[in-house]
Amino acid sequence: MCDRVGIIEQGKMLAVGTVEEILEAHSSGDDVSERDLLIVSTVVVSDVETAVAWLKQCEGVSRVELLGMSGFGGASDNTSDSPTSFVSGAGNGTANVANNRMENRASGGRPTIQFTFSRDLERQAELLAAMVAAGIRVASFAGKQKSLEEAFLKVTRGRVQ
Amino acid sequence: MSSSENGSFGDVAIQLDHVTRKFGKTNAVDDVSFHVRAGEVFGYIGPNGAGKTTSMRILATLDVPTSGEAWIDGFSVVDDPDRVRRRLGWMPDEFGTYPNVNCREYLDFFARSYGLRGNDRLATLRHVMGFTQLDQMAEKPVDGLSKGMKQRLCLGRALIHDPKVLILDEPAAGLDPRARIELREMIGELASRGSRC
Repeated sequence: MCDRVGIIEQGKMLAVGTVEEILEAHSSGDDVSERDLLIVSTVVVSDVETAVAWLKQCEGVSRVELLGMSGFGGASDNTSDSPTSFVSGAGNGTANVANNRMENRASGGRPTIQFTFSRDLERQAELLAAMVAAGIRVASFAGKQKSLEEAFLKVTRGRVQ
Repeated sequence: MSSSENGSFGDVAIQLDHVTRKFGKTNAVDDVSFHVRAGEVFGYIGPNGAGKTTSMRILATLDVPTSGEAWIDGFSVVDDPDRVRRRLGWMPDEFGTYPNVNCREYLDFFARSYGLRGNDRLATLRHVMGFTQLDQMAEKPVDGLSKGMKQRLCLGRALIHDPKVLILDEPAAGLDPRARIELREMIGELASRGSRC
């Protein structure tokens, strides 16, 4: 509901802006090309391993992860081609664990496949059509909404005075 | 941001410029600068003990900064607290209720404190109780209200003098989901009218 937020910790203002602006500013440690990429979450009702394997060989798809397989927030896939694992990175761990749980609940207990892909809507539409054509039964396919919680966990370090 | 970016206060509702508040050796608020424009809903978030309430209390003229300056609707909270109070509705995270006082009497007390008299006062009470949907509860004793109703009452109290700027400290804390959604709707409506929080 907020137009903009300010995040304060230990008396210091750490970030001011819209949630998107804050997340953008704090992803500077990531790859520059990262900014053109979107995290896509998809839930399939057909065999999930097959879908993951299929997605991994797709052009433009990277960091394929399976969330919500175990009761502990999901097994991540570290064998993806990408040099840096999505789950690693200073300070991002907590954010991702929290996200995984939300993800799991949102998909009605089914594992969610998450991957990075182009922000281009045409390309997303093509990918979705290709998934369906490959026999994967897709129940949902959506770019991840950047949340205030995500921004908060990225910016703050849990320090109090 | 720096104050020079907003030389004119035209549409700046809240502005803090390098505000610091020290308690002993602790910097509860440490060189904080930001501004909120008219009609904007600004979320001020941080862990417990980060300095949110301290900075909001400074804006509400209940505390003064050790250094730095802040303005509400263009008026300095340090030099012009009376003008600031006339323009600011402040909803603290905890507020006192009194025994043997009902909702109408409670709001009426604050209306009188702000100098509202006669028909103005009655019209304001009707309006505020209607907006916060407290009219059903008008005769209910304040200290028997649920948390959600108390929050409405406190919001009503903050609105009683028709402030231009609203500052709400933890308005949704302890509310059930429905009360939370209703509060969000009320805040959204106030923001669209140009009140600010």
